[in-house]
Amino acid sequence: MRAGTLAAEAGGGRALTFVLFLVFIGITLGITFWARANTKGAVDFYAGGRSFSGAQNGTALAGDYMSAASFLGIAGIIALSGYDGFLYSIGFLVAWLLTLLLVELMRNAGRFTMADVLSYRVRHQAPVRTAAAVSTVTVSVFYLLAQMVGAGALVSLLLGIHAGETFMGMSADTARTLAIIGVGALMIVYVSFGGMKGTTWVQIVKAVLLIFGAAVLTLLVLARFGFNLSSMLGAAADSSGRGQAFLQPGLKYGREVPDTAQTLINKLDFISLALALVLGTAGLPHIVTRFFTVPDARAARTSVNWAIGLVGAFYLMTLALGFGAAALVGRAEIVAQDPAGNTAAPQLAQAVGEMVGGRIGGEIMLAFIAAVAFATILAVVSGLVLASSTSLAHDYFGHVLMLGRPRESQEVAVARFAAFLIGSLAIVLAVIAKNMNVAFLVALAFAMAAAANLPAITLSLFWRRFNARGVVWGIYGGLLSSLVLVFFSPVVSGKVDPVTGASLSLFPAGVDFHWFPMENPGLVSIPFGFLCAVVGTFLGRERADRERYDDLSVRSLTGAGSA
Amino acid sequence: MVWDSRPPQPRGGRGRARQGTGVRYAAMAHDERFLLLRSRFRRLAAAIVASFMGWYLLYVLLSAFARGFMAQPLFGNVNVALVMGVLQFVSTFSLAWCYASYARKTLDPLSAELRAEADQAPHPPGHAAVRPEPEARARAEDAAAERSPRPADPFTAHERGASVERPRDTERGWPGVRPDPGWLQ
Repeated sequence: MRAGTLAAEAGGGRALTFVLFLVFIGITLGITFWARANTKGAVDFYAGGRSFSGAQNGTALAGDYMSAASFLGIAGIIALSGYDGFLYSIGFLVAWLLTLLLVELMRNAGRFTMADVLSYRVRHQAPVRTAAAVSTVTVSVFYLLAQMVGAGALVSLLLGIHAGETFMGMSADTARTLAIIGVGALMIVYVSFGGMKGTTWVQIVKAVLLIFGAAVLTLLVLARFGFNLSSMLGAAADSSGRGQAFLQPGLKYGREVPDTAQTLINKLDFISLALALVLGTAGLPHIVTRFFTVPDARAARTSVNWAIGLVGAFYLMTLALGFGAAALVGRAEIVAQDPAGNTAAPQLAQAVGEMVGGRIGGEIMLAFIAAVAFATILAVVSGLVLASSTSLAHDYFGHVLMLGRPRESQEVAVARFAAFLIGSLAIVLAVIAKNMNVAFLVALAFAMAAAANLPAITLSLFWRRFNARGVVWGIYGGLLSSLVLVFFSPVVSGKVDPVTGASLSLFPAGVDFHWFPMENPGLVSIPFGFLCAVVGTFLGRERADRERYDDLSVRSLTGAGSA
Repeated sequence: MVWDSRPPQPRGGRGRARQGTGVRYAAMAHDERFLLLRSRFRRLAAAIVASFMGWYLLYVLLSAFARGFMAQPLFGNVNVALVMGVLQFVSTFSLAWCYASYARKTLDPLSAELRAEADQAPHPPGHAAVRPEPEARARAEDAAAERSPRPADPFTAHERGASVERPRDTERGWPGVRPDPGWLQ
């Protein structure tokens, strides 16, 4: 029998976990201060000197992309709800094809941010730059919030601090707050000192650790079942208590309920999520900023191909992690540790470690995977803070407030300070929200990126008639519609557990102002974002500048005159 | 050439409407080789988007509405849903590979040729005919600026041009001094 809690029995393991955390922090701080010494100006700070190779940048892209939500979250969803968690993996991967098609054009046409591409064709840059900065910061902060709240919960769970327990004299609640503040402080240091150079190397270290950790776990799990996928699936289905349904879609998304209308809504909701996942990636700010860290468009293409390979391999392994956890750890023990299933992967690590090396083996594997999860959280939040401070400094400060002529040193100083501001904002919000269920924010961030950024990017590159008002309307329309729809959706109010009556929403039970039936706004807000962009274009008095469009198409396709 | 290193946003937020400001490569948009490159890229991109989106949406719709089909076992405990899911991975890898190899073989040589030409030719074909006078003057100014010493403080050499003391080039709304490449490249 496996112990019900991760850390209660793992006294030595907790110390080992702690030591590994400290080792990772030490290494990354070393990288950061090396990067600080080698960051001279804006190109270094925003784009790492454009000196990364395709393989390096591709690994960093994968590191930026594979968040704790995908490592721990998907493994957890598969472990608890079976096949449906795999749908996430697929959406997250397929999205990269769209990114692959856009990356070279954006690399050629822009320099540091998405707004560089969007504002290229327009006569008055300020509104476009402002809109792009607003969208970048909003998407980043929501995504950041999800990661930081998760970080608080996870660090305390991984260190084995439970409600009612104390750790070095702290209650679980204090430990959560401290974990959030600690993660936040580290990410501010990484970004404001290390800039893109430091952050990229942190991502590379993290991506290698994560892929290595997942590969070790996958091998151990598959070896346990004699490398027979079918018998692993069978064991998972048996142990889940759901039988074959565990291996089929429908336990979590698009659930079939007696009410036909509700069933249809559930299914549309699932399609909405699937759309946001596949269309959001190419507009995620921390992915877009990374397009500019390579010397040219070919290297950008290579880096996305590397990312596809790494991300794809990783998401395939989530199958083994999730179903392995269901089979080897068991539903009851996962839920006892964390009802959302986020600790399924660390628990699986402990279980397979014990099979190989007894108790010590279990503790070592647990500590290692916990440290990998910690590295994942830290790296992803740093990428997000870097993307939004870059946009604030370069787009809003540099091009709107300073009319496009700040001193370089000024702009970089503002970027460092913006990292501090956004980081602090995220810490405060995450501490406030630390006990809320904010898992929906990741899907919301993808939906906003797809609804606000994707229309502006694609229409700027491909539609001759597109103009400034189209960009501005498209961005605000997509952003606001996503936000409003989510605010009036069941994730914010009105969703109760039919059995216990407890609230499953952000607001407590009893508060119910929801009128939008779906939890994911993408199905409505993505077409709405495109519609706003088109309508805005036709209503704008500004005529599209044909010559600028021609210039942009030559530059984006050939790379002539690229930075 | 001076304009090689020019950043993509050569225009200020002052809101002055300036026809053709900073446009350097527009003339090439009518070059036959460019049109060929563009149509090849667009056709390829459309084909890739149509195939992966169609295949992905098919998979999503089947997962939502054809659960009986997805539940059919194929071998052991492996069912249609799992195989379809893994095939999404396979198709993503193959499409990415197809795109990369087509781009390397067919698009890259063409775009490299056009890029070299655009970056070297002071007059992209037909360009001088559009605005001969101010362009020539601007180029002469740029060339003069390039010969003159750079500003001492690299930080003053911003993308907008280092020379606050120099008058803005009215034709392009862009100071005539070549910005410090360190800040640009």
